[in-house]
This record gives sequence, structure tokens and C-alpha cells, in this order.
Amino acid sequence: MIVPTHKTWTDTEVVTAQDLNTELRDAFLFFHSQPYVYAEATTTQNAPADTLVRVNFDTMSGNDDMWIASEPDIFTVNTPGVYMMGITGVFHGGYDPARIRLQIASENYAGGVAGDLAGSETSPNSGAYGSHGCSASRLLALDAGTRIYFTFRPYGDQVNMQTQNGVSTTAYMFRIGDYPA
Amino acid sequence: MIVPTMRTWVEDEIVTPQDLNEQIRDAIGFLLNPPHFEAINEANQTFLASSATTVEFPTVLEDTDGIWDTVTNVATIVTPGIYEFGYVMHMNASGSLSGSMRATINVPTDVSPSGEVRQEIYMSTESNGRFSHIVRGIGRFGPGQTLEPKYYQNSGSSVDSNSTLTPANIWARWIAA
Repeated sequence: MIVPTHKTWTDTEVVTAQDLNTELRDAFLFFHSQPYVYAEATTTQNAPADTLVRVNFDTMSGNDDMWIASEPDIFTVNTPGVYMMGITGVFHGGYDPARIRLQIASENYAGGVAGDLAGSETSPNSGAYGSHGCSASRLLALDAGTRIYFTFRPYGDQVNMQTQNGVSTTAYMFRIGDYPA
Repeated sequence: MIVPTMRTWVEDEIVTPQDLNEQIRDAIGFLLNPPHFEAINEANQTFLASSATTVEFPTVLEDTDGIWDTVTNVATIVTPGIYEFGYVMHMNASGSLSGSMRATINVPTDVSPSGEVRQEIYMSTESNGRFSHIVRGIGRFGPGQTLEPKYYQNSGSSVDSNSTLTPANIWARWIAA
């Protein structure tokens, strides 16, 4: 999407239909349909012990082509701006890792330290027979072309990220404002 | 609220005050204050084992669109759109817990095929521990569709929400049409 720019009006200027369509209609339509993506990972993914694995998503809703099936592990920012992003991971308890780390990361984040952007951990507490979930979120200003991905890593034993009782791992991003000047 | 509909202007058109009120005042007013609510529970709530219990949020801090019902503890969407939603609750295990602790928001199946957005913690045994649930998601809701916060504890003793750290809170906000 193209972020609207706004003109400065001058005295005695004749307001044209094009002005109103550009400055008013198009601007509002942008702000009331800002870029967003919501994706689910419904296919089981295994991470061996002490191994970081990227989350692959297989279903999505959204706009602005932020997720495409040929790159199932990537959310791409096509419109620069400030974005809210988050993930809620669902893990199967058939194994017994001491803890599981869930993270939001970027291949090329330009606003500071590249790599991990946010994360959280959960301790399954000998949860060999149950499921476990945790979540992470972050608000960041992102350039167009920024590639966001999500990872999970078990410690001490393997773990599956998989749908439990119909509930899958989900992640999202949505734009909330302009990129800071 | 009504999501403003933007018109296409044509040359030589006479712009009326009604046009400007609808297309500027009302449109900007909507974007500056889109539908949202937040409700909290400043008291502790007890959740019994082996039953799905409605999570109560009796105090409304914000509600611009008549979304939250403090009697039924159900959010009903009035204005269609994409909403971010979630709830946070800190827990206090005063006895021995075991099994799954499921913090859930029931949503329409066209928002999530399972009809739930959930953050679950499994415990083999846990005594006198504290933990937190953070449930979050986004989805497209139509008018009349609902969000219902539920809590399910698999087995063991009852568990309490712990409002001394911070009140349990639930929210939703419109983010796009």
C-alpha cells in the first residue's frame, strides 16, 4: 500500500475533485484498512532438543501480501510504519523439555539490533502428558522490506508445535501508525 | 458506530456542509476514536477443577461502542471489522494443581476454526505457585458476533486469579475495516 502524503493548502486555492479524492477519500481508505496479517500453523512441527526451529504458517488472512505460501515462515513488511506483532505458541506435551523459548525475530531489522526482537519462555514442569503455550509481542517501527519470523526452541528434550484440542499456534502483525520522521 | 463510507468527488460539484461533516468530521472522528473496550476485575476469582468457568470482568474502564456486558461477561461486536483482542490474568495456586490450565476466549469459528483462542499451561503437580495467562489474537468480526472469556482447570485443587499484582483485564479494539 502507498502511505498517503498530505498537501499544504494555500489561500484562494480552488479545491478540485482530485484534491478531495486524494487528500480525503484515499487517505481515509488507507487509514481504515491498514496492513495486517493473521496466520496459523496447523501442521505439526518438531524441534529437536536444544535446536531452534522457525515456525511455518499454512493459513492466513490479511492484506498487503505480508505472508505468501512460498515463504511460509516469513511476514514481510511492504508498507513502512509502526507495527504491533505477536505470537501465541501451542506445544504438545508428549516430551519433557525443561523449558521452551518462543521468539519474534527479523532477518534484516534496521532500527536497532537485528535478530531477536521479543521472546518469552515457559517451563512445562514435567509436562510429558499435557500441552503448553506461551506468547510474545512487540511494537516496532519497521522499514518496507523488513522480514519477520518466529522461532521456538526446547531445552533438554524435543517438543512438537502442534494443534491441541483444535487450537493452533497463531501470529499476527498490524500497522498502527506512520514510520517516525 | 458506523464505519464512514467515503465518496468519490466530481468536478464542478458544490461541496455542502453535510458533505464536509460526513466526509471530514465524522471520518476523522471515527479514526481518532475507533470502537474499543477494556474491562477489569480487581477482585480474585476462584476457578474450580474440571469445569469451564466464565471469567468475570465487572468494571468497565472504556467502552465506546457498548461492547462489554458486565452481567453476562460477553463482548458483542457492534461495528464490523478486524479487531485485536485479548485478556491477561495472574493466577495463584493455593493448593496442588495438575493437568491443563486453559485460558480461552471463545470466538466465532470463522475467526478461529476451533472456536477458541487459547493460552494453555500444563502442570503435572504444582503447589502454591504463581503463573500468568496472556491470551491474544486478531480476527474479523461481524455485528452481533461475540467473544467469551473462559477458564478451565483440569484437575487438582481450585485456583484463584490474583489481583494483587495487577487486575485481570480484557480488551478489544477495532484496527481495520
